[in-house]
Amino acid sequence: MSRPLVSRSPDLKQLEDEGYDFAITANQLLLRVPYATSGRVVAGGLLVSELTTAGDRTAAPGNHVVHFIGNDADDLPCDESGRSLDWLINQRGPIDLGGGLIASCSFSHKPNPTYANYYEKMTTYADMLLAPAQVLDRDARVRTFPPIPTDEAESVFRYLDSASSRSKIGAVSMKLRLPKVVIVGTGGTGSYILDAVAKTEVAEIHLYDGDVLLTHNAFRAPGAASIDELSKAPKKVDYFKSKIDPLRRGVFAHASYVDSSNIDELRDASFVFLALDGGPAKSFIVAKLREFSVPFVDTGMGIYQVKDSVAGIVRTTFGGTEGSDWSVSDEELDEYDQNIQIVELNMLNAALAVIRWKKAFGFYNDLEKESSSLYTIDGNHIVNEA
Amino acid sequence: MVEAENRLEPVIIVNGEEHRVSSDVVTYQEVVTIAFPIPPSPDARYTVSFRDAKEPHEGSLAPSQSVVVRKEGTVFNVKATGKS
Repeated sequence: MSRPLVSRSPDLKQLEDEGYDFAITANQLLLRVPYATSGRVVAGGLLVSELTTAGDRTAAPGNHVVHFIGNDADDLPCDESGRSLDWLINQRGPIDLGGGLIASCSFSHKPNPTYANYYEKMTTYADMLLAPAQVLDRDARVRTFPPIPTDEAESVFRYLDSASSRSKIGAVSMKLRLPKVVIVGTGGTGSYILDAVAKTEVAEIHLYDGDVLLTHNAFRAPGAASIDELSKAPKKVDYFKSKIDPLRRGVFAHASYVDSSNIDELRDASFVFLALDGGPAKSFIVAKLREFSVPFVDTGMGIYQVKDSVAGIVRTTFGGTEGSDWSVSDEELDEYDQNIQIVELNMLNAALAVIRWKKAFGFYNDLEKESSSLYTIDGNHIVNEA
Repeated sequence: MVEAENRLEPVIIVNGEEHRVSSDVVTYQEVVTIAFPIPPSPDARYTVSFRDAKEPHEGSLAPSQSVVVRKEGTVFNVKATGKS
């Protein structure tokens, strides 16, 4: 699909925005349409039009004719009682359109004045075929909102991000087009951080974790791992990359822990998420990130059992670059890093960390600018620390 | 209840202009007559597409068909085309 042509041509853009399923090949415009067959069932066909361009955008249609390709080679579109639409059909095929496309007939019907653009031309013919199809099946639709594949040059996503364009927050989303975000640790919290960061336009997401995905990890991770996947004992970073791969490009799996041997790889990061156990390893990374002036968020939780229920605190700490004082001591960190973790608390910690990151880059409004927040479960209460 | 709904006299939009209709069931012929009181040519065929209706929500009407519209805001586009 010729994406620049679509984005520069108002008529093609309107087809795309309104959910029409179309493609452009070799100067032809193809639109997927439902039609009624002679057997009085609804089938899928294609309308094929010439496509006239002027430079990098469409011009007015060169003619008002379209060709029709049915589900079967000699299929003609019919009315709801199975009679071919002879008022519409001006030539019967087969008609060779080139590129392996053989039309069964062509249509020639136009308003006065004629079609001003390709949106009008294609939707008018499509509506002519939809009417009898919808008599046979009320759910027949031309506008199917198909996923639109992208190429590497135009997007990190493998298909067009319709969520942002539908809600019209595209300009705000662009603030997150950062070159490189690093997630250190892909356990419960780290895997959910990846789940959210993957849906932003960050160019590269680098995952660091030397661990293998074990059965208990599957209960603290997004989605569902199969027995087959667990049996292969994949590295966590490879497993999570594979889960995100259908959505986006630019995820890099490093099956190692971050220590003095590779800390330099974090020097050019735009942002770092720390989702690993406390202790010397974390203190070392924090000190280095401060030296590199790389902003980061650290996550951690302290969960304990009170009689027969569970309580605790979820901590999210921001280490900015401008004079911020990353004040949580090693002892405090350790206090929050006990081994009870529960999936929704991992999700919450990840969500708070990602929100804090997005605030740091101006995506969310931020009046508080807290360096740390503590969510207490038993009080359903968040305390911010300056 | 059915009577109350019939008394709604829904407002529909046909080719950009508002029209009050007597029932929430609107037929192909009714919309065509609103859009083209006088046929533009003897052989004109009319394509009636609609959106934001009650049932079905959107689509294209065949000559014998009708659609249930909302109290207001259902949009119809009627296009007259001729063979050439």
